[in-house]
Amino acid sequence: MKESTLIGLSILIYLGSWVFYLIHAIVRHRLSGKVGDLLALAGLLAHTAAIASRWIESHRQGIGHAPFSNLYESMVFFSWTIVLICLVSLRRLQSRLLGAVVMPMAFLALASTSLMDRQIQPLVPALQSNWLTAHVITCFLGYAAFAVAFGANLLYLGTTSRKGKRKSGGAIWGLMPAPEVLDEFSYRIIAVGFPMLTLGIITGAAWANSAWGSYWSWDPKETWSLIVWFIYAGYLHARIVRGWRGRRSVWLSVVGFCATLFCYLGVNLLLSGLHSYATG
Amino acid sequence: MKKTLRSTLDRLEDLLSSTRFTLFLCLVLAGVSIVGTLVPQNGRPEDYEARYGQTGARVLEFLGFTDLYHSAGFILLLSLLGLNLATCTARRFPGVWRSLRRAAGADPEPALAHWKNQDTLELWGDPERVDVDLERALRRLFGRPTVRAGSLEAGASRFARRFEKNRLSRLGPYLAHASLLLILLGGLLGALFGFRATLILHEGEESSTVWIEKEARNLDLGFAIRCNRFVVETYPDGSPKEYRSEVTVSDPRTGTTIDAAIRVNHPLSFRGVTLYQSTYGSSPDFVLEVEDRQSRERVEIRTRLHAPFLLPGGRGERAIAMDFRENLVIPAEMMRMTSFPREDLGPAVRIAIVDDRGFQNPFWILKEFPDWDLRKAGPYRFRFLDLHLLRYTGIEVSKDPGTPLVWAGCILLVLGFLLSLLMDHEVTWVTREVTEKGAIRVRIASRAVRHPLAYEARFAAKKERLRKKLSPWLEEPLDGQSGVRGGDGRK
Repeated sequence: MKESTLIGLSILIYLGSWVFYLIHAIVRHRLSGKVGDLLALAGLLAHTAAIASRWIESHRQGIGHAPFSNLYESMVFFSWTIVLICLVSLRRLQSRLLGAVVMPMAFLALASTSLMDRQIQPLVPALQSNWLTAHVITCFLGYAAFAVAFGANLLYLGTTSRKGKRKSGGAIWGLMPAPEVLDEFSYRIIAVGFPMLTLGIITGAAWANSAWGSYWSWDPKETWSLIVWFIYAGYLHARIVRGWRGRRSVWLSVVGFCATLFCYLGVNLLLSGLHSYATG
Repeated sequence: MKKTLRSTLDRLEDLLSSTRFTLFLCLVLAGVSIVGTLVPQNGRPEDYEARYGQTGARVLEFLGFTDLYHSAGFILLLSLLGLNLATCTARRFPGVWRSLRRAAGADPEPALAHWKNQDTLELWGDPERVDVDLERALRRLFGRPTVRAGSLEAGASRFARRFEKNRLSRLGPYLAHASLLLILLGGLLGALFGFRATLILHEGEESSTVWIEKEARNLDLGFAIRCNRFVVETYPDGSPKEYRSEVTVSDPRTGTTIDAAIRVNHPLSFRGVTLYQSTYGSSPDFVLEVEDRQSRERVEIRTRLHAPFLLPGGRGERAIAMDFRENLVIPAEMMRMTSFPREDLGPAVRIAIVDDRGFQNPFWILKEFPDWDLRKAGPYRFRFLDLHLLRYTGIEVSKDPGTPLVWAGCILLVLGFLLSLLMDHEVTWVTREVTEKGAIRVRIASRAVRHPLAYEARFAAKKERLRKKLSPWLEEPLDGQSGVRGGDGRK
């Protein structure tokens, strides 16, 4: 199948998966939660096939490269990593409510690609590097981990009162993991995302060093990745050594995810710099 | 007086080594860094004035926001972070190191009384064989035994053991922090002893010095670089595929000569200096004819932009090419005042006579209208004979003795994260005793040092696996018979 067909299919399946997770959350229907899982998995397969088919197609055109080189390709991959990490986390957290907040993120990310230029472009000299793949994969695994943590933060904020107690009433709350479990979960996933982000920054620095002769040049993208890094470093210290739990740490993680989004999209759209898809 | 000084110093040290200060620095650095991504960095003063007004530009300049990441304030924040990392590590590391080195107490009772993760098993069968299986299973699940109290010899009715797993993960945070210091140190080393410069080389040109912008001086590289050719390759759709500088690097002292190609992402290293493909372009090379009206002396001069040249006539006067247009266009409203047949005048170079007061009365000369010369009355007559566009390559020349430290720091940092964030030090106490009925009773208490909550689920899984591994010994034999009974035979 063609890449565009597969992407369209994945968008639809993700939407379906979200709807079933929502039904599961609202009417506490167990089976629809399972359908949500299955659809998310099926969507991920179609999505993977789409990425693979684009990769193969680029080789067929004689300009073969991993599909990580412009805004469209990065957004497709971002959505893919979100679903992957969401599915892994669902097994861990034992609550499908997470799917109801994370799947819409994956769906929106992937749906937004239909507005972008999806032409396969040859790699300009600066992008012809072995670091490209390692850099993109590590960065987006980090971003996606933060996105899933953000999903758990939303659940936390939506279901607990100011004092960290469970809000009363509502069918959804019955399925909800305890607030401490959600809090701990988002911490654990940030503890995985943070080393990934660090690896992403390091591979980016190594790449910059071979392309521009300097491992760090305070380009806006670099600086924003460092800002994100500082925020999550602060978060980890706040939790591990300062004993922050609950709302305070949840809000810090929310701030971290906003900075992550700005680092990924805001910098490209609003600021100028060296990054390739800044203009794309 | 002395006392208050000391207590102030103590308090200062407390502040510097506190984790609250770490948290504060992380968030402040994040906040301050944002400013530098909003205000353009290292721009020209006139651009700031155009954008922020005169007062605004002066305020930004004063605050150091125009070169934020190299401003004293930012470097101070980074130094404080470095100091904080160092003092935190120095304060806490010895304690952790000692506790890792020191043998733990031999008493399992506090663990069995208080730890949250507990399990009790009763095993039946030949003690020697049970113990072999038990030992193997415990090592698999709970790591290495580090403390033994009581012996495992047959007949000993009771022993206690402490198992530990991922002990080294305790060192993770220190490794991570030390490697951050290493990276900062590498950055400092690069800033102090490194240099960066852009070397513009026209095809056929050679240079052994570079201009260091930051220090406003020429630096002798000790070897010469010659650009033989600069090539741009394109894809069929016209987008760039490769920028390549074909260079010859030669060291006069050793006589070594190397031919190499410098491409984007494929720098060339030579004697500790690295050469990167950075930019390219073309610059004009003019052939001018100048005549001294008085002596009728006429010379042909080949020159470039901004390179003063000697004028004929023997008066030692000089001129310079100030500006160049590939096609000089007369504004439409000026057309009526001139006698030119068209608006596009073609290649033009702007010449000025240089004297000690500066550049005098600059004027344009045109290649396609050689006889047009506004300075007919002056002492010289200029003609623009020919133009060559010379391609040049811009090579970034840099030396950074800090990079090995930075890369070493990066590798150790990742290792430190692996140890501290993705692994946990697990401690497990196990006691074994023989009950009155002849069963071997095993009691287990276990905990993880850093992430106790996450460990609960893992411990539950370990309990299950332990039962699976020891399943042959879990059934109580009927009437002293040996052998295994299936089903739910246990009462």
